[in-house]
Amino acid sequence: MDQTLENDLQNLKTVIADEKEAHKFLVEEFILTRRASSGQLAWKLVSDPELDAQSLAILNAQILPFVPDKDYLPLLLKLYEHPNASFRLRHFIIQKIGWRGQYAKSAIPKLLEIFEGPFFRTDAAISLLEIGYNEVDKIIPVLIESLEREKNYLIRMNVARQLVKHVDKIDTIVPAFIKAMKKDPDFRVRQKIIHYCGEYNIQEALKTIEQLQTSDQHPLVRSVALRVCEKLKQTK
Amino acid sequence: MPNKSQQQKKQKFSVSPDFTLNEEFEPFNEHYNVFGRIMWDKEYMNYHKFMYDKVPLIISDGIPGYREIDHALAIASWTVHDYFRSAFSWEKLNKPANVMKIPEPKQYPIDESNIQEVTQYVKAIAKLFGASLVGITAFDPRWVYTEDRVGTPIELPEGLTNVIAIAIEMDADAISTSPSMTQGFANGLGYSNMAALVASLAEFIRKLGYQAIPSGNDTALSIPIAIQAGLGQLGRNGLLVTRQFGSRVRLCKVFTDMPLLHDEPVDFGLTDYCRRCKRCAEACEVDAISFDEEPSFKSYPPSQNKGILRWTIKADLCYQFWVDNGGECSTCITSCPFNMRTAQRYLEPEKFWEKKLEDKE
Repeated sequence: MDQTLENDLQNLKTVIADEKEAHKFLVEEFILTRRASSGQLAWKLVSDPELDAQSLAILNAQILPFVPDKDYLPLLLKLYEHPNASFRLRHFIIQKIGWRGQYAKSAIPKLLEIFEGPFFRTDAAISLLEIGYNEVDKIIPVLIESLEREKNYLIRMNVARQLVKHVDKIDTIVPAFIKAMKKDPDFRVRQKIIHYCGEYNIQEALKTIEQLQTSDQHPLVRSVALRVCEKLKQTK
Repeated sequence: MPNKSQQQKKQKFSVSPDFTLNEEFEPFNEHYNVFGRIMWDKEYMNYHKFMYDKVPLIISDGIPGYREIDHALAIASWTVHDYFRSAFSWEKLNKPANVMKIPEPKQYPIDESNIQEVTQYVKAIAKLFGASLVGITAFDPRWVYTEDRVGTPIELPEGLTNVIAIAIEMDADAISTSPSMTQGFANGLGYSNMAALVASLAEFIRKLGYQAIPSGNDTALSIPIAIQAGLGQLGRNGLLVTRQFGSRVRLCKVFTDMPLLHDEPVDFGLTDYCRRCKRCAEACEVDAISFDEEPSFKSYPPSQNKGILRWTIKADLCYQFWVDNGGECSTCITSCPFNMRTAQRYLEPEKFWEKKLEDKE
């Protein structure tokens, strides 16, 4: 290994150790002065099977945002496979792969493998659609189930955002939306789905939204329902 | 000499601190922004829809964050900004409550020998008046509005050479309750602090015999000025992102002819960060923030200016949500990882009040 890179790697490990004591964003500072070699440094780090979960989280938050594009996706995939990657970190990694959109097409096989597995099915499903995976019929049923079952409201909001893009599959999606706008425990999810019904002119939801104007327990949801109801009636 | 692909690559990523403008760019007319158009544009989706219109329907005493108390707090927090309108006067303020006669100002000499010291004083004094971050940049006419919100042409006086750009940190606890009405307190207090700050700083500069034009959101675009003054960079959320507070700041500025040293713009890799992070976009209640990988020249005129490389937000949808919400929303601020370095992403309004009521005891 190049001596400068070796020195930088040792220094980086020291900085990561300091960062673990207290968040000072020292690693980010360090890496911003070494943008060109940041991909190689990250690769060396993530190749170390002994690297602990906290260090991996620091790598994800403070190094990966700045590595060159060519290194980014391979690093995400490598980080996902790391034996010490936490559940939470893996969730974020799958999400970040999806956020690369069309540039992450090479990750589709890995995402499909995750999608078929026991964990992170929803994350993988969302990411596959973000990337443009075309076997939508395989993904939609999982997302519909996730809209009801996922515990994290942000994931449910992301599920809704993917589902509404396929609103042509009205027979399956609209009933799921109607159920969620009535029963989702988080007001942000309910308001978002109602908002989507207005944006995508989902007339089939009008009757439910009309009821929610007065029956939903959260005032924001009632307010959004009022506007969307007026809009849907105008475009009927 | 960079080759063509290198030039394209450089241009592709110059969202900030260097701006990439194309031939469509021209100084913006504030009359056409959301707050202008709601007043006059009958074709506009938000025409005559005001932020507090739905409050009587929304207020719900059983829901923390949407109670009468939360709304009253939000409204009250704007008091200094909304009633001390001379804070933004372009002229020296007159008739103070203080009956003591103040000597007429004489111009304080500033030259090469003391410009650094004076610059340090100005920054320190801005902080004494409540600034969290201060930077100074050259006056750039590109960012001055052609007309104000009601359509009056803006013609700044001759001779302005510098702009003091200021960021004021907003209350971390209150804003974390976004989208509740409680978070409106953080915004309103930020605006009120801004009014007191820029008025006082302008009077300080005038007392030393120089021109000073204090400005909040009026007169010129605050974000590019703040970027040029080194306070931060332009984020995916369409806001200034500072390293210290993320976007959890209110911006204001003072134009002056006082000789001052300039700060350098900063680049802490935010454009790359935002390319890969879409936290603000996923959290936005109405998808008003772009999920696009790359920044572009896409724009939604006439509410926005054209010809600037960036991630453009759908300001019309954002404002529509404010109306539905009975107050501003700050979810794109709170969800940003740079905010979360010094604040939390979400605090339930109920918990906010528990914390504040405990503080009082």
